[in-house]
Amino acid sequence: MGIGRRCAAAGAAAGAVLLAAAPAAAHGVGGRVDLPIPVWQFAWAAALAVAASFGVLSMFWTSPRLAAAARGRPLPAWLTKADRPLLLLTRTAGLSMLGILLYAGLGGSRDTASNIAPYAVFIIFWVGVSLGSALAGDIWKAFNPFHTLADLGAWLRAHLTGAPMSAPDRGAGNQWWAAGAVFTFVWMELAFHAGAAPRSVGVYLAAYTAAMLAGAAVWGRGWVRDADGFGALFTILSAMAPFYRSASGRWRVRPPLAGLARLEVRPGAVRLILIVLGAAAFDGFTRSSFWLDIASNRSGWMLTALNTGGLLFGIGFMMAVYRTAAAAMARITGDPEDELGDAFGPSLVPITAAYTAAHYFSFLVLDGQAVIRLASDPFGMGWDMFGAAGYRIDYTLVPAAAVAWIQTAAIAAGHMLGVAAAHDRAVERYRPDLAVRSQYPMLAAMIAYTIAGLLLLLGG
Amino acid sequence: MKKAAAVLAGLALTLAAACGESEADGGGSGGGRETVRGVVLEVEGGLTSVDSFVLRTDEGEVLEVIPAPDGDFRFPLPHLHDHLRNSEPILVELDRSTDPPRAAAVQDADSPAWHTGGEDDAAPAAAAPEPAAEGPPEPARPDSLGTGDAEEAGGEEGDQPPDPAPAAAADPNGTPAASPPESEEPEETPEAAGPVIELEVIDGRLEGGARREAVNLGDTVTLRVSGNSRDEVHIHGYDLFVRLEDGAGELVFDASIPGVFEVELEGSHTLLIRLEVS
Repeated sequence: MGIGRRCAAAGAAAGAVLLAAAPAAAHGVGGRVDLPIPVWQFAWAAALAVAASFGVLSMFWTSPRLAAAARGRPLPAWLTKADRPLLLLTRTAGLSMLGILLYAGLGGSRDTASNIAPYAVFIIFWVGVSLGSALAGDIWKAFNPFHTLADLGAWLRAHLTGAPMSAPDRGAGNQWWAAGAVFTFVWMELAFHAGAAPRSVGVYLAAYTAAMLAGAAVWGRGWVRDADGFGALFTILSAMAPFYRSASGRWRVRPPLAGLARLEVRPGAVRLILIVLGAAAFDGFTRSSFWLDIASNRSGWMLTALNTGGLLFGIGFMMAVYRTAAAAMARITGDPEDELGDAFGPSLVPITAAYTAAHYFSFLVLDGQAVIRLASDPFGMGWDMFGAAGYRIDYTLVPAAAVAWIQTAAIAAGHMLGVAAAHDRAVERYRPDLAVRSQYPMLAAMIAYTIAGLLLLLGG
Repeated sequence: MKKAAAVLAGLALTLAAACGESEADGGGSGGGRETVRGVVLEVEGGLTSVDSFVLRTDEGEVLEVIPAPDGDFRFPLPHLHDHLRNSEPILVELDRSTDPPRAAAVQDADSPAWHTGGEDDAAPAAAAPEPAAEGPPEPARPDSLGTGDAEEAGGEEGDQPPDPAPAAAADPNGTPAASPPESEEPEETPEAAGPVIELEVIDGRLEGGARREAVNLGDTVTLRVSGNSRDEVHIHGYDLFVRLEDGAGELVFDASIPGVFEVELEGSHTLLIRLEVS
């Protein structure tokens, strides 16, 4: 029923314009955003963050702890044994999901609310997998359909030409492609005025898939390992997660955060993280009444242009803060700025995860419920495969006060973890007194990120 | 009690909207149409499309109907199979200028969920045409919503010239397929004991620009739209719609979900207000 109603409601509008279905919400799908957090809660979290920063310094540990803990303990061997058949299953599932989403986006209902593609991509995939990667491990790697397609392509070519398959691990060596790919995604989600339209999502997915396949054809399948922005982002986020697979293929468990010490930061990776951070900040900023004033009377490409400006500003702000901190550290330590930027990149991971959690938690658990309904009717054709086509989102599932607490707690925790990770990296590199001094700029940057993140939660 | 009120009110909205429907479309196509209520006897077609269906109207007429290619269908047509099974009535706007007649619009007749957020969220509403002039005198009945007495609400308007929406609401058994009203008289809608949000929408934009409106959780909110836009106002999250007839419409609902919600013109996707419920 719900779908029909929405179908009809949008039908009138969609009939006229091809890409008309663009709700005003910046993140495209869903119509509810969180209440501003109370000011006292803001003050509480900000104070805690600042206090924690000095706490970390005063607790000062002189030898790196994360790297030692990063190896963790091995998980039972049968898990590793089950890995291979499981991988076949998950990769098939990943490929099927890509197929379903491509079909839904390109051929399903034009109404955003009755098409699974925007919801699955923007909520479950982008937010859900991000948080899952940070909290559990690199789950996406098991599903990644772009890897699967590249492997299939390489296998096919090897069989046709008789040449050996290209190596899966010889990639681009940097993550500039991945950073660019992630930027195109956040641009479509947050800046493009018709970004939530199923056709936009379908065209984007098709273009992304084609780009990955083309790259694999030219540079070998290893290229996709580096250039797939989603895979790269999720792998980076999963560095703070407890579960991981060692180089020998064994599943292991380690303390959360410890993996950051071993995260290999390749060129472009820091930009990639900062793009995600800046995009989340811009998304929060679009909820402010300031933005409402300047954006509400614009539509179409005018809105896209304005949003693009805002998005670039958000990303630019995050990059400028980090750059400034790296430059200041360079002056203190005498090390090159670029090297420092990469070396301390892992400490941005908890902050990025925190921004994602704070800004999108309720988006995931409330608006994400839409996929329950849409799974029964993914293309908006009036099906009811699992009997849940009439499911209505329970917006009261998480009380508003709980959401506010989760948001502030996430930002504060992300800050503390970021500071701790940066500190650990500093004592790894420098003798104790220099390590402390080198950390002041990074601390200032972290506090800036945290206060900005909290300010955005204030809305208003 | 409150729930009963909401259900009754939802029904009122359905019927009122049905009136509005025929009004709007009738005006556009130049007549020759009527809205009939009836049950589905047969459905021709597959899982994804419906070629035709047989309808028995409340008047007892049995006719085969072909969905118009550009019809305004409030559900995917295969849902008619469900109506065939459960005999729940539907409303069909018939275009009898062809043989067999065409269905220009189809919707559930009884579902209070139509264009409302379900019975928990939905509260009385009437797509009330409002004159651009000063507001109509409001009856001092602040609690008429709480009592759920929709009949009385309609009945009190006996001294008014005929206005279809409350009349339909007053008589759930009557034929809901009202013809367009001859005169757009000021119409009284039950006045809610709660905040009233007035929106003047001129040429597809809110006068004064989009703004933020705050109400308290649990308030019974009246959203009153005036102006000149023929569109539909959509309250996201609650998924409530207000159809604007000649630019005016009104919706009363319980602010039961906390959060900030976008209220926009559905057709043009223009943001009107952000409704903050806290």
